Amino acid sequence: MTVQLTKHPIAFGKLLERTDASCGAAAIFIGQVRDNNKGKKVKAIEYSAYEKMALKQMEKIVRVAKNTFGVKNILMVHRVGKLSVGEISLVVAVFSPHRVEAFEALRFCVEGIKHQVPVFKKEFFSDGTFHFSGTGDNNGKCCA
Amino acid sequence: MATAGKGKAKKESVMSVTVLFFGHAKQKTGKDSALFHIAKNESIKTFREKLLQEFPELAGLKSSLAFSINCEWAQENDRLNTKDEIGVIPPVSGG
Repeated sequence: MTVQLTKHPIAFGKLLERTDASCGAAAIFIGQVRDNNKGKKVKAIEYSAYEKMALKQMEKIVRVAKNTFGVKNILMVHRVGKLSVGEISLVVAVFSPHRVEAFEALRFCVEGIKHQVPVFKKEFFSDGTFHFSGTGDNNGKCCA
Repeated sequence: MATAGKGKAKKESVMSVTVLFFGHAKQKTGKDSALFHIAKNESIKTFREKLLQEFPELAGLKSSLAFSINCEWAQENDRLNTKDEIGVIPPVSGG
């Protein structure tokens, strides 16, 4: 497994077990649900995805990152479904012989997920409203 | 799956493409997908105009909508082929 979308909590400890003894560096990004956005208190975030395309784009990012930075292995796992504040939404782990390329590849991968992977975020606020990230006229009364 | 965009084009010059809606676009249209009938070899730019005519509820998102063809990001001048799967994609926000 290199890339994955999951409805279940991410068991990142298992993901981080080193599989290549030549790798002295593991750079890890963990994304969590923040308790605020745009000055409002966040209650939960619902992630949805165009799953087939998301996996294809994640695989492409991994492929380019390996070719560009020469890192050995990359794992990406993104949650879908409704997450509470503090839950882990994303884990990216990059394994490499040395730290510099691991850091660079990690940033490349996380930015790639942010901009190229069709995952969508619906934020639910404690005042009963919700908001789709990135779009304008999208506030509404909470339906759940 | 709903059907949309039948228009008056001659049958032989029309093809069907599957349109998938995601995130805010899905909520606005109330649909997961639609079968869209458009002229063969239509560009994404023209498809976009017809989509907004067919689904005026997407007008509020029009400046932020992107499109994919068969799971690859599409550009305005990309052309559509029979049986293509088109994603109607609002701003992505993973992470």
